[in-house]
Amino acid sequence: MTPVLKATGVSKAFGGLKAVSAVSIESHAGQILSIIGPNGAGKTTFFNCLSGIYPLDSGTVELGGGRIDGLAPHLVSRAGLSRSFQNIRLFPEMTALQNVQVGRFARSPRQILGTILRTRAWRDRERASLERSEELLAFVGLGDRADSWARALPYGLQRRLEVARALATDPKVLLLDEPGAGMNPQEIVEMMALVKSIAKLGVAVVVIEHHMKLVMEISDRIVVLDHGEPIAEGSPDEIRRDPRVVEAYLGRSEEPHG
Amino acid sequence: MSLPKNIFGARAAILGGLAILTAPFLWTRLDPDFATGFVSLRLVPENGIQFLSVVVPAALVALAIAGLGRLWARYGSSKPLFETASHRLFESPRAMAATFAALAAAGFVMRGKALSLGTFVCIHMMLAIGLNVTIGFTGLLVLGYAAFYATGAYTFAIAAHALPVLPTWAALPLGFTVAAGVGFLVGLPCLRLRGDYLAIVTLGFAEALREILRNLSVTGGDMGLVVPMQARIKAIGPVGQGHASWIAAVGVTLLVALFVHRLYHSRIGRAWIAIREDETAAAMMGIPVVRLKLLAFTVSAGLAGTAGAFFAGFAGFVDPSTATFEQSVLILAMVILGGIGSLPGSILGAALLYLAPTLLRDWFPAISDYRLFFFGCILVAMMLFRPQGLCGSPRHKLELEGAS
Repeated sequence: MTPVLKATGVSKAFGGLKAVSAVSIESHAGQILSIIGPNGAGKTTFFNCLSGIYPLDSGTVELGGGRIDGLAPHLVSRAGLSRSFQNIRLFPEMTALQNVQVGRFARSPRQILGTILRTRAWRDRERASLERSEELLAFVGLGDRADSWARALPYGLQRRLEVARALATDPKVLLLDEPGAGMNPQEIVEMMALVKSIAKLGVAVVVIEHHMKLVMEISDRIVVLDHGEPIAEGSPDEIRRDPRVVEAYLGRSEEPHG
Repeated sequence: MSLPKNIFGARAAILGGLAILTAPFLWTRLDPDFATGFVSLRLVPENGIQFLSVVVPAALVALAIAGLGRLWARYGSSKPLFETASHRLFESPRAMAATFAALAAAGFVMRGKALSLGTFVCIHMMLAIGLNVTIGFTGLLVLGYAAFYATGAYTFAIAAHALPVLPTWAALPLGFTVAAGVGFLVGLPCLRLRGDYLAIVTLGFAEALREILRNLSVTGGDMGLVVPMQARIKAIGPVGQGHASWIAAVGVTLLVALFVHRLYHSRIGRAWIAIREDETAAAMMGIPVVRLKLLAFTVSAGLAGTAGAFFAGFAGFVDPSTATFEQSVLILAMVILGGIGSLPGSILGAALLYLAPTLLRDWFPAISDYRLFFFGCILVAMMLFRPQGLCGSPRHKLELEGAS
């Protein structure tokens, strides 16, 4: 099976600091790939490289056969890669529904004249975008909070809203940067169920997560980064037994996280 | 940002400091005695009284409007009063037609001077609505907005000289197109950069344009240009020139507001707000940030050009004073007073800030000297006491109050 997202030898340095060096991943439709590693291992930098926020120093990123490295973020998004952010980056002064509708931007056609004249075609498309956005809100469990201001939502729901907004761009690949950060155990379990259901839709999901127990439960494959370098890759069972991983990550504390 | 706990104390301190700094100008005058060469300081209360006579009623009107909005919020509905009203108006063609008819009919009971004042208020409403597109919706600061106003005005005046057959109505598309084109060219280099480059570039552009207008022969130098009679707004049948101007001004202002309202409530408007809220996240949602900023600025410049061309057709002359920094600041003050990001706010702010000084100038002629000072005080006071503006678009309110 050909991977949807294929990153090969991605490297990024800030001055003398090699934040990411020669990381390669393959992400398949309907599967969940987790990227783990200690704090400062370069996981978020790697996401920023994939999504076009940082230009790459070297390496290539292919999405569905086409190169997306070197593209601006909005073109990466159009190509079919969407993401959430580690520190929530919603549009706070818009409603939940409007946040999701913003995600539909690139998937609704350009119609400046239609917008001003409110032609029938424009209204039909606006309604279609609205319905799709409402659907997505319901999918992440925010169906009854459509008109709440994004800033007024509780933290856990803001994370869910970010996922809905990312899904609104119709992504082939979804990058989730610590979707469970700052949540209580119950919320984390629910979030991971949501991540699984997104993968079931046929989206290739790449997750950065710290919660080891859940990572082991939901992932199809795991990549471990340390100091920007990939030190192991494999199925959850392989990773659990890998001595380098234990040394770099799990072995640091007396008890593993979770 | 951490403000002192006692926020009112900080505000009082700033206002008190302003009062002390400005007191000598308001209450005293230096009198040189040319016979003896001495300069004596004299206590003169007139200036201060005139100044207060503007500030106090203006503050009362502002308080009344803000209080109305607050009362509505408490007892009426969860939605803000002015936003709700304007949304209903611009969503319903029938309500728009009724508003237009009522305002046009009101013109027949107004006398000449009131009509021309009303027309000028409408022109400034168009300007404030246009500037709000960049400052309020997209979050880009523009300091030389009057340059595009002047571009529209001069474009129409020059075109009317060059083409004697040019009809009056051509002012609107012509002013829009040329000013939008100029705006596009000015915005192109600086909107590719993050940060407030646009503010500085437009400020410089406005100053440069004014000097160019003053020094070219085709623009008539300092004297400006007289618009040929055939291109001006004329009396139509029984409707006099003043009435025709007023009716046209009301119609064009409603059209401009409808245009902006419809852009705002579309994917383009949502993209603008998304860019204002978080540029990186907006780009990640597939929004071409540079292109949409450019679109906002181009539309904004075009609307200023429309207002400028209308002004040329109405006033019958244009001169370099349309492009002054004072004019830019006046429009900016209207947007901030009414509420950044609020369409009804721009309309209200324009009406208040144009009417208050003009009406009071008739009663106290010397007050025109204090216009800039007056705007400064309004901006400082608004930022301290009601940063979201009179109509306080909910989208901006909490952000400015530092809730996060």
